[in-house]
Amino acid sequence: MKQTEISSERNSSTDAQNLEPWTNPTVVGKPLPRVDGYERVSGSAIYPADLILPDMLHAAILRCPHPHAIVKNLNTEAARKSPGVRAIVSSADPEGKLVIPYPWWVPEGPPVLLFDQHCRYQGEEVAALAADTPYQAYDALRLMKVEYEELSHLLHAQDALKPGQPLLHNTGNLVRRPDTYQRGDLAKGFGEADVLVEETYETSCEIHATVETHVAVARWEGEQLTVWVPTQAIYEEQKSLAATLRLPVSSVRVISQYVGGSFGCKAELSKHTLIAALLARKTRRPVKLALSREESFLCAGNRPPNVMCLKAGAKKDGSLTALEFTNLGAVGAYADWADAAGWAAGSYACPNIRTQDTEVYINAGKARAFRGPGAAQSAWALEQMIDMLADKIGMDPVEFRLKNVPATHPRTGEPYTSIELRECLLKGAEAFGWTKARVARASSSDPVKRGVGVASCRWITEGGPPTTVIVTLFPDGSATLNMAAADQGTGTKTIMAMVVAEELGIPLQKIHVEHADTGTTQYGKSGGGSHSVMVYAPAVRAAAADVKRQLLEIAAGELKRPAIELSLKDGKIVPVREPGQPKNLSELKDLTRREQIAGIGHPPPEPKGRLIASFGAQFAEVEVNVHTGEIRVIRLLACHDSGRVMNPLTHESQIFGGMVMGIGFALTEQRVLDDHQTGRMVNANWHDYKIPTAKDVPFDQLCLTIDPKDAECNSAGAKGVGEIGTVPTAPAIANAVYHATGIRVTQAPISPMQMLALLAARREAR
Amino acid sequence: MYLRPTTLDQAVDALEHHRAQVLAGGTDFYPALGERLPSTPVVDITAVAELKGISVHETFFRIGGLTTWSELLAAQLPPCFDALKSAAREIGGVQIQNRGTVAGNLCNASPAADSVPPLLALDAEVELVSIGGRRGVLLADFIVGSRKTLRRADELLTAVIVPRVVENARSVFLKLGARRYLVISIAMVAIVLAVDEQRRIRDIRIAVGSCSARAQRLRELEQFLTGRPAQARLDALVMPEHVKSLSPIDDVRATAAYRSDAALILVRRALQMCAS
Amino acid sequence: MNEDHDLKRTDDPCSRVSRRGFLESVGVGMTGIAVASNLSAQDAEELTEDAEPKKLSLVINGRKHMLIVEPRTNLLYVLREKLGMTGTKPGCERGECGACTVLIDDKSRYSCLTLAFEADGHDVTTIEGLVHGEKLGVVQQAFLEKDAFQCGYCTPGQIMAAEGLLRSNHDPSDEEIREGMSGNLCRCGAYQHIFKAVRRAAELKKEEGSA
Repeated sequence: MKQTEISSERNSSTDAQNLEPWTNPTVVGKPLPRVDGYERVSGSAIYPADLILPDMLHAAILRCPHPHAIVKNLNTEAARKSPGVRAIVSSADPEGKLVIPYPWWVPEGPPVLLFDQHCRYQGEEVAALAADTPYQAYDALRLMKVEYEELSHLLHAQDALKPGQPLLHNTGNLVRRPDTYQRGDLAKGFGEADVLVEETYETSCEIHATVETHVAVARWEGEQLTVWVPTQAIYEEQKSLAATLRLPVSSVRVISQYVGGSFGCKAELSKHTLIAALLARKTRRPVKLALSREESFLCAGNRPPNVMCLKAGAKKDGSLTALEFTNLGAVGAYADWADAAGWAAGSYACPNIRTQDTEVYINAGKARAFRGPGAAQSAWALEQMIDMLADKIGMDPVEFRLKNVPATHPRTGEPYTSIELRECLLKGAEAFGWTKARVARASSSDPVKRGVGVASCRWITEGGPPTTVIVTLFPDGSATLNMAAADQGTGTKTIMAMVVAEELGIPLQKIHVEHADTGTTQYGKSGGGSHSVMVYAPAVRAAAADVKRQLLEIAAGELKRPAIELSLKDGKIVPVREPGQPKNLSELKDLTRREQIAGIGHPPPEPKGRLIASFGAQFAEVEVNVHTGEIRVIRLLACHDSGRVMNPLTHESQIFGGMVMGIGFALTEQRVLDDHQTGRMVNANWHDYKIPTAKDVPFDQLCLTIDPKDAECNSAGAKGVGEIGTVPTAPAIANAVYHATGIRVTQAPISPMQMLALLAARREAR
Repeated sequence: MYLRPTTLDQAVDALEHHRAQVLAGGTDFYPALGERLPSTPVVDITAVAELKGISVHETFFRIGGLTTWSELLAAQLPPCFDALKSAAREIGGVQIQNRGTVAGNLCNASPAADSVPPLLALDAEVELVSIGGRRGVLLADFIVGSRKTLRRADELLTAVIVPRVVENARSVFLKLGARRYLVISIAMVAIVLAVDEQRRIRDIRIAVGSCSARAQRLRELEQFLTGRPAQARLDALVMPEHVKSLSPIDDVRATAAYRSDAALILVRRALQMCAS
Repeated sequence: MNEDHDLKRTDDPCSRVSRRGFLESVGVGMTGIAVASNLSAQDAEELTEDAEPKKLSLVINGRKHMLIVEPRTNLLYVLREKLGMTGTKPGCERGECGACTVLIDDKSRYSCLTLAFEADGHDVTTIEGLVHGEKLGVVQQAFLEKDAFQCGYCTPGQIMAAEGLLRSNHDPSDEEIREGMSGNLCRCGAYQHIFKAVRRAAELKKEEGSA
């Protein structure tokens, strides 16, 4: 996703909802188990894939097996007669020409037709059908006869703009005009440098590979469509579905109460969701459409591959003088983002910078936002580059980074509400035993070499409106929290319930969370960009405060005391002057008469003239076997400034999870397309696309935090944590590999094969 | 057509009369199906009790074809089986070990089948039964290529026979993959090494998997090493030409060149482990 | 549009992205637990052939179920689609991810790689079977306490694998825990907390046993 530098307007009026962050919270900040933990561990949580509706049909999609082809002829007759088949939809139907809108963060792109006869990626949708059972659906698919005209394909970004290459769209293979940013005088900066380094880095296409594949269940009641779909963004999907089907927005209901992992790939309207809705409308029966594992590898999003050319200069004292960063990224067959360079412009204090991001189409599945989109790729290059510079001037990499920690945002000059990057580096290095580990290198005879590496990171988060949250309190002291936020495993539900508990002084067990349903919750921002806590915690707090205010007013009337002399503790009204005489809520007659109090909350606008960002530093220790090229990560330590830690348990889960993903990004994960012949993905399964397993994760994983006591970022004092944890892991590992072997591996992933080839090349060079 | 015999006679009778797929552990069967139900006739042999278990005889061990990897791991076996046990641990997660069978791994005949190198190194023989009778085939002959075996469609692989020749020999299995687990190997090596009283190599078998269409023994290297003292720097004797007989290919997991290098390194390392 | 499209041909009826198609392009074969050769030789026409449903009785979580199912359906399908027991999750349907793990006679097994008929006469335990009334089983409790999950989708499979491990090994070492849990993928990367939870569950089981 494109990095947006923020310049939000702040309402200068003193909003009643503008509360100061808690100084001494009793619930927030505690390592509490999740409020929906019971459902998730007992097997009773109902994910969309688990939904069984009366009379439900099962759908399946016919997909183009070629990376680039024209559908010349499609014959669905035999499939139509196949047992159990109830409906077919294809390019022959008017619905086939429906155009799927791009999500809001992709401003424009070539039209995405539901069934385009020009198939631009392997797995592109050609037709679909619904049958009584999933097996009948798959059997019938195989009876569809398609005549394809295969076109030559384009697989690599580097080839996309060369003459004679296949063109994916009428507009050419360039997604958008290259995005360039410049500050200072690059030539002057390089001139001032004592050392210069130049290097090209590459990252591989990484697949989200959530354990739950994409799935949708659609049901029509008259003209009202309900869709159960795992998504981070119920309102985005609602809006897109309504626009595509030309329905009033209120006629589309999207429900997403459990999401089996997303990391960004379940945040926009996918074709399968629309297909389920169309087949359900044709048959007037509910339809479930679950993608297979293979389909999810091919066409449900990915982190795009990047080729990044960097040149950087520094003075002997460690100060960066200039950075040039040119990136070429392949978004896949349709528009999305594959940027990386622009991120680097905001990372370190460097007076002279030029960055350029160029994005092109290739014949492969489209990219989608993927945990730290752009930032993770950018860090792979920049954080290794920083190490190269440090190495060249003989300075410790931690010290080098400390030298270049920016005081303000280097791109806009705006100050951060808080920045503890320096502390993250220092505290992390100390806890890791950095200085000692840096010196202790393995003996020369042992084929297993040890090394340590560091990388730092930054992630800008945006909170603020529009979002509406409702908290209702019942006379028995129980409450319902109603909000749009999905919880794809981040712990949002738990954290928001904790905010209600904190504010109203009622136990967590008495709070019910009603969420992620456009039919019953109010508009709220999607759960992406690591901003859920920043958007929702202030909103929930404001709603709870609204409830509290109303409650105390009622109590004041009944107790004949000014509201200001009353407080709410442990679910009881406590007169400040007579704390020994608390009153149960059920004793308040007015409250009982009203049945409930509803409080409404919105997040206050972002602070003006300030940026909010999370920071962190991660340290890795690896073992490299120079005989086999095998690499083992034996230790990882993270030290992060994400503002207030709302719940240490779920916070640690986020950071650890990000680091595990980083191990995969660094060492094993890679979409492999068959270059020689077919252009198809040859590892669309979990055996050959290798995500980390229990055996790849070091036992020694540690997560430290620094709380900057940020009173400016929002009323919770919390910043984002969802994505940043994965950003520095891979370059920290690569830097450790360099420390262990003296070999700079620029291409991710660092496979044993690549490692061995580089070791052999060095032997030959000597 | 789905048949579930409970005796060996019923099973081979079923195979005689139907062009059927044999379902044993199913760890290969189901992935092959994709999103479909099976369509060819299926003979599910999982209920045939006489195909399970390991027995010790005067001159050989008999491992029933339906023996799972977990069962093999739990069995009390002499050191020459250590390599096979290591391979069993690598065959997949616990769930696969609980499910996958010895016969299935051999009949599937993947070049990357984990159990093949250790069994080749044990000079194992497979027992095939059809309605017409029983025959024994050396494992080295049984697997003729990538996914190709000498099993006829009417035959069942009922057992693996391991001669009691090198019972107390040391054995080692090494496997290289890009990830620690759920690894389909890039290269693997099994060695069984027996020494005489002077600690000279009396009998050595070296088998390499994943580096040719079928796993194979390095006979020349074996001959070259036989009679030499099993000393510390045995690995230094292994030269690149000793693995020349392998014919690895490039694929999604590794290049041929890497496989050759890896095979050499693994052979050296395994030798070192056996000798020390 | 590029003119280089001389490869015109009619695809076979299996033109849908098929595993078979990939296999041809991979060489050694794409699944380690790979494909039986005679299956890939079959004709597309045979594919819709159906077998007759048969009677089956299954004991799941101590409860007997009489079913009529097509004999070639797997246990995962029967649990979810026939019995509505959706705690057991599909993730890959080919024995790679472990989300569908159940216990058969106390041993952890992938239900996607198990025929329903095979489970006849054996005790099947699913995630739902670990809950006693309203009370979570000890492994579930430990997972909850240690936050050993995030999205929760692979969690039932992880818990069943842990349960299987602890039924055969009451006091697993760290390495044994890792080994025992290695057949279950977690994309959220909760492994560290899962290790903690399994250790905690072992303690809880001991306490339960001694109480």
